[in-house]
Amino acid sequence: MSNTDISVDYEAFRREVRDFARLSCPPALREAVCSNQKLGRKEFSAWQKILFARGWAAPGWPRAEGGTGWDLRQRYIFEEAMAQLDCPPQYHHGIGHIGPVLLHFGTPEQKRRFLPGILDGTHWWCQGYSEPAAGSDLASLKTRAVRDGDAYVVDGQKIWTSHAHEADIMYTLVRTSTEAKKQDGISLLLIPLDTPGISIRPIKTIDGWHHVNEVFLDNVRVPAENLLGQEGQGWRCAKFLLDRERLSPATVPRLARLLDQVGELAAAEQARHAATRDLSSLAERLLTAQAEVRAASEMLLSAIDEEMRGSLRAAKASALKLYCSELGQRIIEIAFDAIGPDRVRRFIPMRDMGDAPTGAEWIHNYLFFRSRTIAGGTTEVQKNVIARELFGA
Amino acid sequence: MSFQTVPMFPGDLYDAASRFASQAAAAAPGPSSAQVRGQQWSKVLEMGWPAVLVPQAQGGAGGTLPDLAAIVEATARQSLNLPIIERCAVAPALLSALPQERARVLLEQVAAGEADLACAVQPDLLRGLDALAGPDGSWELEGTITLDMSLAASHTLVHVPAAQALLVLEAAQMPPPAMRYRSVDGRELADIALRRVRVPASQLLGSGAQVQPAVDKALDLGALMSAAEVVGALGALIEQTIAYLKTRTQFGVHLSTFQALRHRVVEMYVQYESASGLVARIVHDGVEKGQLASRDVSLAKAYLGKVGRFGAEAAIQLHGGMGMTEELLSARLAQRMLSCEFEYGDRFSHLTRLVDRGLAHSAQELHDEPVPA
Repeated sequence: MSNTDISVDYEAFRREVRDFARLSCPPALREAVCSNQKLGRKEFSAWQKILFARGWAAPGWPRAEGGTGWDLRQRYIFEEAMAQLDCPPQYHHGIGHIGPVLLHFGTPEQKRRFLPGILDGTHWWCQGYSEPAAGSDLASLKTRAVRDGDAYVVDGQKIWTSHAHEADIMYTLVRTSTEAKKQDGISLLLIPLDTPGISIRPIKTIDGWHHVNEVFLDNVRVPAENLLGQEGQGWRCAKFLLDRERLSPATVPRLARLLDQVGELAAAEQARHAATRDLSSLAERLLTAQAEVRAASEMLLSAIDEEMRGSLRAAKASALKLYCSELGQRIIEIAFDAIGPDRVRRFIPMRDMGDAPTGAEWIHNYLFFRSRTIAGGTTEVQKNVIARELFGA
Repeated sequence: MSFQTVPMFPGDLYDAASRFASQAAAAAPGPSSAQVRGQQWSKVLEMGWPAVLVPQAQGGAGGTLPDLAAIVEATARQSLNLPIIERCAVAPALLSALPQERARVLLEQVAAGEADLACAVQPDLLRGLDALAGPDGSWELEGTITLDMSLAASHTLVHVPAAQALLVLEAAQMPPPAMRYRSVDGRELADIALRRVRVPASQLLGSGAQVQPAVDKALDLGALMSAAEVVGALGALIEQTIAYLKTRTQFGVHLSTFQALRHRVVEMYVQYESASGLVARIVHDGVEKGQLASRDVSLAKAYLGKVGRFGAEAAIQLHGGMGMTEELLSARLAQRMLSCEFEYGDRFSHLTRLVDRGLAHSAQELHDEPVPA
């Protein structure tokens, strides 16, 4: 858990991280973040390397394991500075997902093999969880792993695997038993993506970017030492993070920064077309979003305090996540409305234009943000989870 | 028997267009290629759709607005990305409204399927456009236009507001695109830079004070048809979403049993009935009065902008992860509905027009009843 070190000088810490953010982010990276372009392994790894050099590779990990040992409030201050100064976010699958699971469930050998590459950004992970028939009902997954001597033989299919096309290894939920309750038959297997029998097919998403893939596994032999935890413990590993890392300190600061940018865009578009296209009604939406971002900030700060005291209720953490998903969609929709006529048609250039922003990034982002209420648990499912706590049933 | 929305303009033409669209989509599923669109357009010409709104005296079918609206509504259901509104509504309407002989000749060629007209008339697709008259009656054209290049065109109508002129360019006169794009809904568009392009006098279709009103009428028609397209697409989307929820199971049950999802579909349906009623009424009023009321068209476009956005976002959400993929017809229909808002003016430009021209009146006046002073 986080340190509650009451002698932390948060103001000095804020100055320190802001100085770092100002001085350490290469201009090309800052430009990509600032123009809301899609970031991939190249950008995330470059930033992870810089953080690693500073000793800040893992803000949420214990110091003994290569982490910073910061408390939640410090992690928030860090994320706020990174967002305000247009530094890249950290890619979450390594540092945020499989890393902590390895720390808790991994053998010393697995930690030795995998943690360094996560920390310095040289080894790239993706998540093999969902299947075509197992989305919201993930526990019904069917990808099978059968023990054969010193290996597991894996057959099946994963879907929505973000960045599988550029990853080295996939942490994968597989079914090792069909006997018990379905959750108890699931194991967590670490599958290198260059193993024979794996094919990756890109999925074309409506946002015009390439993030997700289908991963087909056909008779894939995975060494038994790549099993993380015990057989049948996979579901518990997956739930581990949901129960522990209930707050994401990065989301609210990123939304605040996005709103600032959207405000500037709306003003620019209004100035360009005022005579034929009056955008003054966007003002109400922008101001409402400002209030909502401040409300989200307060919700997050109070949730951080409660989490550090051990009194945070799950419903509040879920409510904040839900609120931010929908708020993000409302904010980016203002940009979509502002610049729509210009870039909905002239969306994807059919010739490589290099990295210079065109304004179409707003359109890509508006469409991408539609998945904020679908990916990682649909809002419908999340509302049911919250309702069960509110209603006691 | 699965649920089907009731179309605004049912009848033989709707059925024929619907059949064509289904067959076209079945033959070439997914986002279409230029070659596929070319084949589809050959069938469109065979069916005489560009001639529907051309008067019989000019060799057309002498059809009515509901006839074309039926075609637009039916084909919208498959997201075919064919420029039906541009070529079968806007181009004929524009040419019909101009008195010049050359306009009439070109209109007859359109009706006979001998000319295929792209249009550079939507104001936000024209940038820095001007035409300087030469001593021999020719024009020198300058500026940038953005064209839908999804289908080859034999001619392009170009409105030059600064010169109060409507010109026609032949395919051979068009410079190659400075930049090509893919639009959100998968069409191919191009920015074309016109640098001192000389256009002979014979290619002037209209000049002076008569041009702007003709363009406005054609744009109103385009706007209303794009509203009809959104209604058609929304109807298809509701049917597909119901079918998806009834087949998809999670946690051992069909998604259609979840109240939150059922209610969202109901909301889509309520929007469909209200939007289809409104658009159908404005089309029929246009027939009765012999012309479209600009105010009604702008109201419809402003409203359908919101309806289209709501329907698209709901359909994506209700299809879960699949709703984010281009493989799914519903997701492509959602992209199309989002894009339709920006054709012939989005809701902000129509609201601006309504306010500026003092056209924002009370809802009561929509029913043509005298309002007590």
